[in-house]
Amino acid sequence: MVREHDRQEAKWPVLWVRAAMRTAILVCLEAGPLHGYGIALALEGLGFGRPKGGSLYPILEELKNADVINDEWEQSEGGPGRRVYRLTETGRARLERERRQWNMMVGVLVGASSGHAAGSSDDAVPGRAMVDDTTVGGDLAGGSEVVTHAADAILQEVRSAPNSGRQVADRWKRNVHADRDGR
Amino acid sequence: MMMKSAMTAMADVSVDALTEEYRRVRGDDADAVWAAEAACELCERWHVDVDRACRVLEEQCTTFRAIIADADLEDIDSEDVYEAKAGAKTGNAGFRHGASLNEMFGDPKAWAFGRVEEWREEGIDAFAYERPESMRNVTVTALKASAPVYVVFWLLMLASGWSSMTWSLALVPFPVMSGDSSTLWSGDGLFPLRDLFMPFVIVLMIGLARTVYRRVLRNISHMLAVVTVGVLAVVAGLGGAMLSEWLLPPARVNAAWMLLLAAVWALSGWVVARLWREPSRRSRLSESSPFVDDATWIRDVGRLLRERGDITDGAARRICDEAEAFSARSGSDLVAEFGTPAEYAHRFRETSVRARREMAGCVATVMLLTLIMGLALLAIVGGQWHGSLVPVGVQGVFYVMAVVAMIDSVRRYRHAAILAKR
Repeated sequence: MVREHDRQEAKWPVLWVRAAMRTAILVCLEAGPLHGYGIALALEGLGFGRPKGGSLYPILEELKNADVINDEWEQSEGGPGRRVYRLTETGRARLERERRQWNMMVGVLVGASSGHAAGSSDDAVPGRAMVDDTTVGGDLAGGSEVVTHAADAILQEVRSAPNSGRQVADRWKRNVHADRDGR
Repeated sequence: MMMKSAMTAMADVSVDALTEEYRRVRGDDADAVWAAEAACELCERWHVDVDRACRVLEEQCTTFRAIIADADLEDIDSEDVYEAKAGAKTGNAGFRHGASLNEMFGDPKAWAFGRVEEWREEGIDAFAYERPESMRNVTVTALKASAPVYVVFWLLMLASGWSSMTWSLALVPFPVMSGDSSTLWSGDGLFPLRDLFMPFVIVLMIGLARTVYRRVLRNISHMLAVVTVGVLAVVAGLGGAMLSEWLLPPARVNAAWMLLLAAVWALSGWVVARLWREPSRRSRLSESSPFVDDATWIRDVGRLLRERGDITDGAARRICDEAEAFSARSGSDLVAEFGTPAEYAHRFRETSVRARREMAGCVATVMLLTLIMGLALLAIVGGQWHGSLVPVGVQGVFYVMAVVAMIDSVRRYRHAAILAKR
């Protein structure tokens, strides 16, 4: 039996992670389809910790029943077939709506201390950060540009290479730490 | 049936005791009603295990008491406090102090839904779905349920033959009268002997069909369960007709036999229940065990998913396949990654599949009854129906009940479909 890879703990309190999990999954699928384990690794890369299958799949099933995502069997070259999940148009609309809502909530929570007004014009621009982006993983709406680009690259690699998930996640960590150290 | 009755009785006692606790907090019957509705919603609507439901309601009652105690201490003058305590002691109905439970904790349905969502989110196995009945329970239930059905038949015969039937025909079972058994039910209180056992056979077949459906659904698939029940119904119908032709002579009996058999079935149900012990259920420990191997885990998850009734065969297979694939990639075993079979199978939110299946069943039943009623009406209108309309009347009653059930099932399906997409 292959040993379980070292699981990275979530960067945020478990209640926050639980509350934001569905939005985070949609973020992971935004750039392209992923299989279940790929979603788990992408979530780990976003700072949500790698969810156990028992937590992840019921949420995927719920999102599927709500027509937010759909799934299909994909035969990969040189490897076993797998089921991949993809964001639907309904899912994209829901993601945009939830991003705005999260932005507004974060603005309310941190606006008074950091001078950002709640519901500022930034929430009309998808993906713009409203919080201090030195936090690893940033926030769901973005983070620093380097972090965002790294996240995109990681997701692309996980989608294209069936067995490189672990290496991809390790590189994500290195990229983010390099970004933080470089400031 | 005894064990189930005992368990149901215990559950009833627990819930009754709980609602009484709620009522005692401030002597308000409305609080007991809230608790009863919440308990019903948890157990009937969401298939929550009774023990779990009682536990969460007890915890809620503790919170309720604390809120009331705090409110008493804070701002109530001594006269009100005296009245509050007196009201609670004497169970003075109608005395209210403070907000209603709806205002404090929300509507019972919304409160129950919130608890269910929490348990699913946290992977707590709080659910207990309907299981197949044993043959003993099916038999005892059929015997006991047949009694009122025979009484209904007797009443209808009394009503239809009011002007012509004598009281002796209605109340005294005469010896079997030889005659042409193909004669339809006559209006003078006589009917064919071969129809005497039909209501019991129908009730027994319904119970048997339900338990066979649930067994095949749990162990194999929904599709095969439907086919099996269909075959069973056809075989039972044809077999029953042939048996009655073979075993019973062409004869007629009077209406009082219905009343006699009602008493016989009721007494038989009581006797059989006492003599035929509930068989010990096969252990289902593996479903809640954290020590199962992967093969057992997959088997149990599949069974539990199908047993829910709201997961299709394809979805159940897909869920198990995905679990295996994820586990292989992560390098953990299935229990470590997904929890026990019961925890995982009960984590999935309710879908509209069960409501859709029930709706389809109701629609099929109504269509079949419509066909039968249509043929009967054609025969009546065409002058080919000779005799009493009691069988048509009984069928009409069942037809109305089936239509009402179908309308209700459509409403429930629409509600479930909206809930599933939330």
